[in-house]
Amino acid sequence: MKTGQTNIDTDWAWSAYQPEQPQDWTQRQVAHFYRRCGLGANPEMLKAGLQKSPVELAVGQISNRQESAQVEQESATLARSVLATADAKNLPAWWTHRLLNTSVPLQEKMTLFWHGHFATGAEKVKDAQLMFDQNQILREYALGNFGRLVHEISQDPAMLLYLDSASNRKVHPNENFAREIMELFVLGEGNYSETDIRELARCFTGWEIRRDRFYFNRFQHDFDEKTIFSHSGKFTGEEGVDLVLEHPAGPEFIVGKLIQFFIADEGLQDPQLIKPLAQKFRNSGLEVGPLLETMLASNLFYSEYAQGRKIRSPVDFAVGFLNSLEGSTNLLELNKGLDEIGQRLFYPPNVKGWEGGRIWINSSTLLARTNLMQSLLKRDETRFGQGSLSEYCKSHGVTTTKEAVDWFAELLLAVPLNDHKQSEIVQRCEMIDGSYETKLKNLLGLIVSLPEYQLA
Amino acid sequence: MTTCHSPLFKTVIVVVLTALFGLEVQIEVRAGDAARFFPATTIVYAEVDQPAGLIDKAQQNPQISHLVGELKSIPAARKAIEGKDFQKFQFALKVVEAKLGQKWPEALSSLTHHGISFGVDPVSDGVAILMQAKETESLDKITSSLLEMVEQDAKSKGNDPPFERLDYREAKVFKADNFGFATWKNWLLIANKSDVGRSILDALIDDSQKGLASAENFQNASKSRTENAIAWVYVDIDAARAAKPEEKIYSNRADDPGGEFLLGGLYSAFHETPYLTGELLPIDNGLKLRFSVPFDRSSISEERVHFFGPDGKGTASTPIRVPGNLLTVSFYRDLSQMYQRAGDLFDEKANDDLAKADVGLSTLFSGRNFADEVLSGISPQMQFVIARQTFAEDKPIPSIKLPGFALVAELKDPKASRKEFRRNFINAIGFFNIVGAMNGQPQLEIDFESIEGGELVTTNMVPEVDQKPDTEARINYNFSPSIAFSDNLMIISTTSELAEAVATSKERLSIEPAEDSGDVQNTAMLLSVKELVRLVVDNRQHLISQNMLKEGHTQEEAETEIDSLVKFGRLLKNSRAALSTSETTLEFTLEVEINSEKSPRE
Repeated sequence: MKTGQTNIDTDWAWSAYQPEQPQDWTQRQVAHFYRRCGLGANPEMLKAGLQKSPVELAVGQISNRQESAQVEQESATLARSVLATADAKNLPAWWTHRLLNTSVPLQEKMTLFWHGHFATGAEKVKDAQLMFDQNQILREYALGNFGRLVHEISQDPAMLLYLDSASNRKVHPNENFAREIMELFVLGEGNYSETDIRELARCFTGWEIRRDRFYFNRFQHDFDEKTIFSHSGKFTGEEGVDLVLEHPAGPEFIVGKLIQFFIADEGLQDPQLIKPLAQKFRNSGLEVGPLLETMLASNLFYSEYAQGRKIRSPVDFAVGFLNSLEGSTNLLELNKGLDEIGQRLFYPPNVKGWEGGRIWINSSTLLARTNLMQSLLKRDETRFGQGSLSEYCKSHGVTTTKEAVDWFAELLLAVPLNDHKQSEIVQRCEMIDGSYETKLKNLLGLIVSLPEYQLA
Repeated sequence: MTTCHSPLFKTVIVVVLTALFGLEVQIEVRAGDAARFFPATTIVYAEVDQPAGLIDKAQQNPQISHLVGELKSIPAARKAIEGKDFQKFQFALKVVEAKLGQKWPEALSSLTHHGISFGVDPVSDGVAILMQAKETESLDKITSSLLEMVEQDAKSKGNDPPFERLDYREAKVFKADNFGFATWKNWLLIANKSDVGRSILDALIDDSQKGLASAENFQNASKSRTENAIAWVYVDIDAARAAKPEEKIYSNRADDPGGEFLLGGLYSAFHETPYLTGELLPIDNGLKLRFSVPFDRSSISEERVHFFGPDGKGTASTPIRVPGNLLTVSFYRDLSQMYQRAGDLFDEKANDDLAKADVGLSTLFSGRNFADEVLSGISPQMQFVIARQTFAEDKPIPSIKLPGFALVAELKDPKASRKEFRRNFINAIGFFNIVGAMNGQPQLEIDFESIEGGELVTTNMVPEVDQKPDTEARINYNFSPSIAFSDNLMIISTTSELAEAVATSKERLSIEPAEDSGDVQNTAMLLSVKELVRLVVDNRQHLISQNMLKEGHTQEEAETEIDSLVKFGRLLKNSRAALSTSETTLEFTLEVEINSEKSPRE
């Protein structure tokens, strides 16, 4: 993670954003909120969001952790079907269906965050059920207590299999999980020593996976005294995790990652900026909800330091597009496309997860992004509001290509489109032979290929 | 709005065609004369001689009314009927009917009274449809009414008239951007290219006796036409092959064992045949589709004897039937010969793969040569059987319910071969258990049982220690690989139930004597649509989920589509297919029967 110093006033930064005039609270800001706290918003969500204040919007998303009964039922049905095939390759389509239909977008977005944070790949784990179970843990604790989540993940079969820690004997402690929990999951680099890792690994001896379940083999546990972060005792694995969670560096590490995920890819990693939130996080007992409540309703979140300061991840790019226009498509094919542009759900590249930021974009992925959108728009299965794009536009009072450019830009782009580009897009679309539907699809294809659309 | 549901529409087409034509329709068929109007270079030609008769019969037949009623009650059809597009179409149809002063089916019947022909001419890149109406007046009335409507519509939208009116000799021509049509007396011609249009109009007006009808291939093909064929199609393979000799179908090589097993004989046929004919025939409660190519079975090449048998008379045995039988395909294929001729039949990669496989297989069979000593012990008559399986309630029931698959083969020397196959089956199960245990898969328990005239070696998936009764178990629980021996039969099956059903069946592989004509069936297939529908019903929830993920449908839309598929399926009964040879032809036939019972249910 990049560090940096800013001259941002921290009091101002984390104070709740209060628009001075009602007209200062715009649809563009609501769209910004949903791009970051979910995966885009459709016109109805934007309209409803505009009726709330920034704080109400954030609190509403954080307190709403109960998925709608319909989505839960459909998701469970799809999961049964996908798991029946015992093939983890179908899991990404299952999750994408949930991302497209969820009534609790922030919870799903945070599940996505934790999936990248506690990266576990189905390529190695292979077992679809274990990957699914881990995903459910991430969802359950997505906005809950970070400490509890770390404890759950520590004994999660998928994670332990992924880190080659399915058996851990006292004569030869496996250091993989001990290293990752410090370096990647809780503290970040430079906040522990190699001795701490070795001693923590001894705490985890006897932790095994048997028949796909966590099992404590007391005959393989090292019951002798260990010393971690200058604390000595006959620590168990659970106590070892607690010691890591109590380390002062932990909250700053997590807050820094959340700022990068929700506010800006770069430039906001000043320790002074992070400190107040890290303190709040520690004081709350590592509750994620209150931390996000402050972050997502803050002046900084709605400021120029945040708007358009993130590169869309592949999931933001494609699923966000469909969500904004109430789209649906062949989800198996969509996920193949996501893989090609660098983000295959359930298959992170390594234990560090997806690095994100500028890494998402290079000459090859940029071309692949355009191709993905073109194929998405050409597919027979792709529909908008369960119908054609022209019908969808018409149902929202958009009847000309000029109106369509304005409307799509408002819905999809994080930064405004200048007049020259707008008229150029309209002109190019008018020159295309074909039906109004074809023109609209071409127009939409052009908009989502713009550099502006790559920004969140 | 829903998008096009391709599997559903395919089913609709089959059902409607079957319903329309499969009614013991006695139609006066005369070989169409229209071929003489099409260019001699026409590569594809098709004709329906008396569609009017079919339309009239369909309108009068109570079975059709019943079927239409059933079709309308299907969820997808009901939704489409209630939809805006269909309502618009109905409105437009009413306007047309008002202008014509007659119902649309009557108009259509009148328009096509003496037949419809269709042709593709590669020289002009032209496609043409030729119809002969009942009389000139009715044709003029229909075309002028439709033209008037189209022109009024264009005018109301501020567009130019879509058709340019021209005269060509005595014909009236109406030309649009990408196609045109012409009328002459009671003939209506629609074509995409001026050249092909002119050529056909000239032939019509000059009453040509030549054209395609004078081509030698066509004349030979016409001789094989059945009297009561509803529709007939001719394809000039000589011309098609000359145009695209690089096409795989003409290469005489499948290049891979799977393709050779299934289609090797067809590669032989298409490598040499001058033409192909196809016809649609009415049968009791259904339709028969027959494709035929000239074929000299006395001169089959050595490398395809494995497919057609000596002198081309290799005959498949009568397809086996077992409870829950979904599909049985019976083949004549001499695997040993095919394996030995691999060098001539397959490409380098396939041969390399076979060589690798040969090493493993020879090891498995105790060093015996796989082709010479193992496959040669199996008779060329073999069958592939698929049947729905039942699941015991006290055992894990898989969420996805697969049918059982079995390969049934006849052993030339059962006494010698049984032990060998039994031992290798047991070895394979042991190997599977070791690999499965390494990957956390459930284990297979092996069991032996004697039956009359043979034995069963079955397996069962062992439930996990703490496994509770489960109706959503993993897909693995569909499998209980088994081998059975009964008299001279060997059955290798994915389920013990199917192995036992075939082994204890009273039916035995039997070969029907060749017909008087000398025709023999090389491949025969039986499909029970009823069992197929049951399988779809068994897996309804899974199919709905897959539809949601693949089509992007809502749950309601997916349910409608799958339920419609089931309902359509229930309108069909059985299907049979066969690949047969005679002294002079190679023929593929497909028969489909409709279910004429009212409101068919399981």
